[in-house]
Amino acid sequence: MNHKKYKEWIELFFLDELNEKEKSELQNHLNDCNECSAEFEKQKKFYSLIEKTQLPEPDEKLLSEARRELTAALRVEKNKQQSFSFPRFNLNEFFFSPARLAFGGIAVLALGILLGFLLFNKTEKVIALNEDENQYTFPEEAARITNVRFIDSDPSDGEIEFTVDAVKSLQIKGKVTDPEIQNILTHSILFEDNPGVRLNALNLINTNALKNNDEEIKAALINVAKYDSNLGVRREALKLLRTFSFDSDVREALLYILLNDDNSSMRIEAISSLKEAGERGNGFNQKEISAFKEKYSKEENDYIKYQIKTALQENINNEK
Amino acid sequence: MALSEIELINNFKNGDEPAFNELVLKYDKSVLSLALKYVQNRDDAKDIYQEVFLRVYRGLKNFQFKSEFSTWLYRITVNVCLTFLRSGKKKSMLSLDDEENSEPLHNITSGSDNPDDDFLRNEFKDNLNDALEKLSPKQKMIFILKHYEGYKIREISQMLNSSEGTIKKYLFEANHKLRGYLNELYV
Repeated sequence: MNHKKYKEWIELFFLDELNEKEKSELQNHLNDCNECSAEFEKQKKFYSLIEKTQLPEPDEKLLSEARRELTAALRVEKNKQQSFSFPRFNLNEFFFSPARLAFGGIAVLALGILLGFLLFNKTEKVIALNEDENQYTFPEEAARITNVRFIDSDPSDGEIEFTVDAVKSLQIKGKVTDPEIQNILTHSILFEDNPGVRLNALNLINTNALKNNDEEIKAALINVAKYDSNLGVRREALKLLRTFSFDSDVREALLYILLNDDNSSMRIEAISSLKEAGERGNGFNQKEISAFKEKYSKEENDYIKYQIKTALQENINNEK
Repeated sequence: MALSEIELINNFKNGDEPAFNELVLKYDKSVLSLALKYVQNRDDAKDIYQEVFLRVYRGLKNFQFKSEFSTWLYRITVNVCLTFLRSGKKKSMLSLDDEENSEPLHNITSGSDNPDDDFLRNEFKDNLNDALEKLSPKQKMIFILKHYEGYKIREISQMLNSSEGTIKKYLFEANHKLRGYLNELYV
């Protein structure tokens, strides 16, 4: 009898990987085979213990932290992608090997002086690269060089390699209601490194763009209100979000903030918005009511607890 | 109306950055869940989560739809987890008494009215964690994907870019090792 096959099938049975025909064949075999039956019982005990034991699941707090950190990391990544890599300077063709090391050293030094000049010169001289690997030129207008990162700083083979960030300033002038301008502002609130810039962009959106009630702006504001690492930016985004119509996206965002934001002022703002919407006749759905109840039991801030309680009471009264 | 996954990816390829956020929100909980189960440390899980989505962000522009996006995403997640463990970046295991771990022990294990049952279950959990640490990174990953994430062997083989036979082999080895380790105590 082929016990090996059936012992494998016993494992596959508990892994839910057998089809009905195989299950039936296995059952028939187990009825006749004490050895495999004993193995089956052994494995059954093991798998029932495994089934009863759960490994940790991420809670909302962890998820929220991870999202915020990712938003910040994506911002950095976005900026990084604007950098480029200089081509390798192939000096081998110019130097005989005995002099290579010395000239390599001089090349690194010269390059250092050049980059130092480019980095710290206030007239913002710029550098652009010629496609030809062995040449580089400095045209009148190009990008500002920052953040030099050596990949290969060993000049012993006559070559070095590094990356730099080449940042080029663009001056843009246009109507604040222009969709392109709004796109840039939306992009800024999501991806700008500096929270002050993100806040400025939010203020500009505030005064000008909201008339359109644009879906993309709304999505960006929701993202910022939920995940931005800076409280001031989150708060401003939430303030703007409150001017949007109280649709399911906004409701969900407000609920998320109430349940997850570390800062009590954000949670107060969120519950106030939800309450106001409730007073305007937007009754709470079952998911929101359950979330309110759960939050009520966990919330430490008495004022927020009170607001949740009254929101629930008002909801009951409105339904009557 | 919500955009389809393909639309979101194409929109992102055409420069629509918020489309990426929507993709993240669709899958990020399961990525974090797998990472946490695998490394059992909240900070490590966050690191893995971040690395996964940065890789997706970098690679999505070249995504050719040769596989499902979710398969590609989980393949990246699995690779980052495996690399993470090999790289020695791992911090200490999740302590069940850790205040940071807001999910208390009685929630992690299935609740029961019988304190003896709970005690045994918690003891088993500790021993299982010890035993999981004795598996190779790949065995551990496959064990978790199968037992705790509920994937079929076929799906795991796609994620790990291996044959179903190879996955079965790893899985059987993992089960065998775990049973051997836990045998004296429980079976």
